[in-house]
Amino acid sequence: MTEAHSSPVIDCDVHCEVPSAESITPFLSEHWVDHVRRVRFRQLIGVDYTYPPWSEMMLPQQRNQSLDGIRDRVLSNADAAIVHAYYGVESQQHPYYAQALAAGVNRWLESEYLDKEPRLFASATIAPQDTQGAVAELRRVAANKRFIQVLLPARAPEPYGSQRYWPIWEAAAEEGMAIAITYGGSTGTPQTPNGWMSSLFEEYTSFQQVFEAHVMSMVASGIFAKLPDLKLVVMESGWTWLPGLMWRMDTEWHTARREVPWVELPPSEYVKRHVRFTTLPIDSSSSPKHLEELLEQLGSSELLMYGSDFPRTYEPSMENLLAVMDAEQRDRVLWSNAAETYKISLPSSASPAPAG
Amino acid sequence: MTTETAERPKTDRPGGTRLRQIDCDLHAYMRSREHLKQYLPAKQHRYFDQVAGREQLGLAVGARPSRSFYREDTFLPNDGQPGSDLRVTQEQLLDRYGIDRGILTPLDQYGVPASGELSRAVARAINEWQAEEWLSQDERLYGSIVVSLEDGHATASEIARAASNPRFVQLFLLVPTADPLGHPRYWPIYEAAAEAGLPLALHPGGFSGMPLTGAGWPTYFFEYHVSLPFAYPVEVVSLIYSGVFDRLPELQFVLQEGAISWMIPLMARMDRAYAAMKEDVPHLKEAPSELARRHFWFTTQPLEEPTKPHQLLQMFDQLGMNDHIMFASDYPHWDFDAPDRALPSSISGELRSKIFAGNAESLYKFTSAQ
Repeated sequence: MTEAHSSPVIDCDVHCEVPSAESITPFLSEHWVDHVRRVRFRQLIGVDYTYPPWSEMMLPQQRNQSLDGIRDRVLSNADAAIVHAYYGVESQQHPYYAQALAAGVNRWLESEYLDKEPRLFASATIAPQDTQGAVAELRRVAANKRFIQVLLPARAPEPYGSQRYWPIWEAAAEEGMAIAITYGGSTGTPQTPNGWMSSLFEEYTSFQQVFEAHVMSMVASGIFAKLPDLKLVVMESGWTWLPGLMWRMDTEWHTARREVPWVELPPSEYVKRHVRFTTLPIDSSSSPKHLEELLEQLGSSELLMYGSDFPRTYEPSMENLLAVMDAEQRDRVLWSNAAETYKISLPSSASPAPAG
Repeated sequence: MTTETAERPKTDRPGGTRLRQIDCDLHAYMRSREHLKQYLPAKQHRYFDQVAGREQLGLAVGARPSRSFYREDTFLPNDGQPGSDLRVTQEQLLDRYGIDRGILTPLDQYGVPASGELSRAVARAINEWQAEEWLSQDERLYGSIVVSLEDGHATASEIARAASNPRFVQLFLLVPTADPLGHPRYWPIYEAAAEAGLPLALHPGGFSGMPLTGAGWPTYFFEYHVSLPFAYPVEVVSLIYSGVFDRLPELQFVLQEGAISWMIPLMARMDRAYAAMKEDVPHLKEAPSELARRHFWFTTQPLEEPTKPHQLLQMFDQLGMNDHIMFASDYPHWDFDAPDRALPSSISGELRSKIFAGNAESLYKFTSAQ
């Protein structure tokens, strides 16, 4: 965002990048240090697979994602930001190796970003393929209250409502952490029900059905009824498919209630209570009329949270969206939805300005 | 179904013209496997018995629906197969609602693999059965040519053979497919369809060998049924990316039983990616949304049902494809949409008559005079 806003701003989707394997080896045990040396480990395949470095779409200007870069480009416009370093740990089948790398990323984030900049909060990396290990890492990072959620890739072998993941969600709820599902990932399973696609263009553009499957699965599973405080944050999803999904789920729920009796409310109610979406990209035309209609169709001003998806930039932009919002909606999307979801209190200098 | 109380059908419109109704997704079933065998060469019978005795592959392997697919009152005596008796279909659908034309969509392919000699024999059997027991018996009915989907060029002769009967008005393909539909293995089917001047209808119910969503198998029927359209963005993107519409500019695809709203964000995302990823799509000469609007059609069952009906009009407006949406009842399935309940009253006038008949008349080249 370029314009100054009177309200505080929390940027919920900021990417940083582990520069090299050497960045995390100081945080690994002797066994894994020896292992990464012997296998000449450079990076997990999920990273380049999700954000191919050759694609201008993914990194338009190769912006500086170091702490200085984030201070300069993100914190200049925001009072607080939530960073994550997607590391593709789901693309490593070895459960202990994957979990060790996840812990390494978290320790690196802590030491390079959180410890040095009080305005930053972070999503912790966990390897969801190993439920027990993921729970253990979640419990470990929870000691640092600035880890406010765990990060999961949208690509998954099983949708996240599946019971295999429930111990992770229970631990997150107990620790007061949210779950974030973000674009991409690499699990060795195709991202479509039709198998593998042949280009990044096709993978990127057909991604909505992966997010939809997770939201639907979490709602149908009953986990939100079981854990009333659980929050799911869907990041970098395009989100404009959501009204259609809510309409379809609510219709089908009428005839599905005997099958999923624990879904006691219309599915869209669980979405409104438990699921939040970061704003960018916006898969819509830039037409103010269309954007206004989409906000109306969401049926709640609590669903969206500003996320710049730094370092990427998009059209329609955040400014396009803010332009069709009233003051209350702007407050909600720029900071108060995030503050409530993550229980973040902003530095006193950024106290909310009066609406209007 | 709409939750609000819709208007009764306007059988007499101002000016005296009746609202014509074309049902674009009307399921016809064979009575039994034995019935199908009447149309199969004898040498195929034993193999067919073995293969078709197993459940429909995709549903058996993964999310087997935990409920019946059919409207209770459509079962024939002694639990007979719904949708398998022309007289009952006439009585419960065609006559009762005054349907002018109905396009048969023969969903059951008997668990037969989607390629190979048996697959081709079953496809041909289904086509002959439609012609003989339905199309020749009721002039309101039209057929869909079933093909051995994964067989590529081997399907061309059956398409040409069946298409020589003008009452076959489209090809019928079950999705998800083993590969995204832009894959060259499917192009011979498109060439044969273009040659015959026929659109291709896609319908959920296929089995690709992969889980039903890109995030794995759904657990509950609720998810299974909401996820019916999840293969469609993939098929649309793949077809557009493949360049097949450059090669065959007349080709048309009908996306059945997959709702509609998902196409709006998909077109926006494709156009954004098209602008930002030129290096990935040098062969695309126009914006993907242009191709999508020109080459894809929808049927209405199930149509989105926002609690505020004006939001459906917002959806139609953002989609910008009012000429490409066609009524479908999905008879005899449990989620059947009766013509008088299928659309909320907010969809009226010209749009209503286009959805009920005009758009299908244009796609299938029906003449509007009955």
